[in-house]
Amino acid sequence: MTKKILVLGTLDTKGAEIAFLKRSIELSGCRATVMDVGILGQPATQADITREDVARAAGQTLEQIRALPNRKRIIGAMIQGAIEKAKLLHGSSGFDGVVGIGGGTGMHICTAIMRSLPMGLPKLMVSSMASMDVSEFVGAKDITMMTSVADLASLNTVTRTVLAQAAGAICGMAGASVPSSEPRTAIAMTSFGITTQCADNVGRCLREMGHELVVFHTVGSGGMAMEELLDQGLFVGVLDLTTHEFIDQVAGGHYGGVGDERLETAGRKGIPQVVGPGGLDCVAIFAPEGVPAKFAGRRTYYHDFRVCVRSTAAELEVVARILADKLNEAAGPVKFLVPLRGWSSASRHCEPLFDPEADRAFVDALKGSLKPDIEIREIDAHIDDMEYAQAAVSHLHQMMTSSSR
Amino acid sequence: MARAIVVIGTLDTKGEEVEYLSQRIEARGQRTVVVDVGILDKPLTPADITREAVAKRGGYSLEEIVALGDRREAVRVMTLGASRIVEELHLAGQVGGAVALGGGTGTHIGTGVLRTLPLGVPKLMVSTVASRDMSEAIGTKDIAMLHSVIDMVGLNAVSKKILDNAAGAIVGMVEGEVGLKATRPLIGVTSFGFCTAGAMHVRSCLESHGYEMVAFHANGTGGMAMEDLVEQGLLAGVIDFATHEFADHLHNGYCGNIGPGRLESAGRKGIPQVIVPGGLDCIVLEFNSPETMPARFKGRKVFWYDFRSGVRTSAEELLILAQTIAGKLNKATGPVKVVIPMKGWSEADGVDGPLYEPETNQVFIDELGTLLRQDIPIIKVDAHINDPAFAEAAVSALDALMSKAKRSTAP
Repeated sequence: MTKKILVLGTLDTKGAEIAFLKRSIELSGCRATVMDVGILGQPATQADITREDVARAAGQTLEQIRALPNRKRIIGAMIQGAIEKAKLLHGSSGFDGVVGIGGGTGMHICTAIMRSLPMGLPKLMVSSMASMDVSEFVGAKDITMMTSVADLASLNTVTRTVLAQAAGAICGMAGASVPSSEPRTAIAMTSFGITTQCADNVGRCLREMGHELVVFHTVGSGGMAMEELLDQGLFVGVLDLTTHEFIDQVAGGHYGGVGDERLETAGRKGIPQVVGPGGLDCVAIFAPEGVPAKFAGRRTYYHDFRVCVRSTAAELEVVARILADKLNEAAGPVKFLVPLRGWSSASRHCEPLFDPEADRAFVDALKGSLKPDIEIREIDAHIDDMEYAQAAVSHLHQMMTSSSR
Repeated sequence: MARAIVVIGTLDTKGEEVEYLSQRIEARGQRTVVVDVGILDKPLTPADITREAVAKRGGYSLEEIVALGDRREAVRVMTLGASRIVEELHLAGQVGGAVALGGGTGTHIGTGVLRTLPLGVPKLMVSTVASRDMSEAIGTKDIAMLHSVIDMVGLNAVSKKILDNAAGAIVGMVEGEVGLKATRPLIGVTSFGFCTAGAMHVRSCLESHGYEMVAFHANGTGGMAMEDLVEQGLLAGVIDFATHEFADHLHNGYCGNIGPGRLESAGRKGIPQVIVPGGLDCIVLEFNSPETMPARFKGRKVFWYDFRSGVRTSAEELLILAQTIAGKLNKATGPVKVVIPMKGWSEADGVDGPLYEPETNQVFIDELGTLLRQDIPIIKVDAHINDPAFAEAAVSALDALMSKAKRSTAP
């Protein structure tokens, strides 16, 4: 069957480039549907979904949007309309990939539309601004960013090369095989550098049980990516054993940039979850010039270009309350599993961040704040020990089987 | 031998993923060459070019690197060794495209290798860290970055889908390639939002003179990308229409991330260039309200744009800019002209624009006149940068230099 590609761009400034991209896509044997998200001047080529259609989907006419007081609101309205149109199209006749081209503003508009589409659907953004900080634009989504090198302001030897490759890339991605529709048995798990052994152990236990493990790197965007995929219904259970992002958020560490929804999606969807304190023993900081003054006097563990400093009892009590507030809202089953012999490879007995008293303060605070039907299990093992992984997997398994009954 | 797709990764930690990716590429009818850049544990899967071979081209034996115990040095050596090998394969005409996959370190090595391939050779990096600042990793090269979203620890439904997409993308890029062949002389032109209209006029003038325009978004990397293509010998001449990056560079503005080589390659290669002060009237910064405006710019005139705004450059700043630009142009070995639009340097600096200040602009023009070499003329055009008349003047200035250059090199 012919694959369908949605092409996004502003047809006033990038009309010729989009027409060329569309032709290249069709030469590759796919069908292209062009959506015009521009508002300046006149479109230079024909759109399949016009700017008027986009405006209407935002509940306004194009004239009304043009009359908005500033550029930011005008763009916001076009994004809103374009997301509506893209979702509608995806839900009805569907498409197999989406590609956008643009400069700064075009990238802002097109990636917003791509981020509203589900994971796995091929997404390609060709931009003259791709070689800089793209965290806002890519977010937690599987968007491929392609640098156009030259500005997409005219068709020439360089831009034709880039656009032909973009057409090849998106058609190639759209034609990629879809994983077989085996029953969904995937489990999501969080992990980071100093809890990697735990992820390996869990993977081994789960394989024996016929489950597939998908690991998320808890560096801010990773935790949020897991929340999004949980929302997409991709997982039947969660092992959120590395909640490290929360201590970074509370104590000002490097990976604290999580959204409000972190640790809430599984609960909202009623998916069974086992939660653990992995990495809450340390605040991760980038410290090329030495440990900042506010952490002076704390015990430290040197990872590579990053340093971990020990979290305090007071900080952990705050984290305990945040976690409890979130988990108390869960509509599905939850258990909290605490490894008593350390929460990362930096806090084993004899390692610099070993501090059972601070750990205890966290557990006590958690007990005081979690609602009574959420069980806290204390396991006499280190987080990297097979025993802890086995306990986590078997508790999850129990909850999954009893909740499916 | 048919051209192959080079697959780069650390086969100790990402062996399974590299093997799967390579299989998916071959299933689509392309040959692969797997390069192992790992040094930690034993490779999990076989390589076509082993880590031993890579280390050797980097100047060490594998044992020596492992014994060194210096992670940073090991990464440097493996990147260098793999880059040399891939470059040699490319020069032998054996590379159709290249794809790398990895996490933090893998992305560092992978993009390091990909950057050695010239513009136009398809390059894809599948990375767990692609959703952040990629300026160092991508540099000025046409590397496509695929954000893997999940960590590459084992094959599963999600990682397989991502790797399938990656295989499709690189094969599609290789098969979709049209080749980089210029039919008319290429002229590099820098431009940015505030003088886009002018750049569009420049384009039609250039085309009517028989040239093809390649525009570069003067956003920091864009200007540097143009320098790179001048070095590659792809451009016959340059109209540096938006030198705005230098103004932003003074205050770490939005487009200010340029390297020390900006505005120097054309001069070093001796190709004709026309320089225009497009956008030197303003410094573009990320703020969109009086409240979020950085304190040190308070009191300056502002051009409200979107999430970015332009603040007026001062006379003192323009003096510094004139010195910087004159210093660079005075080193040029080829012909140079400076062409100045006397009625304003950007959309914000028009007669009715919020940053219009001809007397401040004059400070720049005077200083430049004092500092520039005698043989570099300053042509003043009584027009705004976005007027067709100005584009006409800039293009004819370049055209005169081009024809002169051609006559002098003709036998």
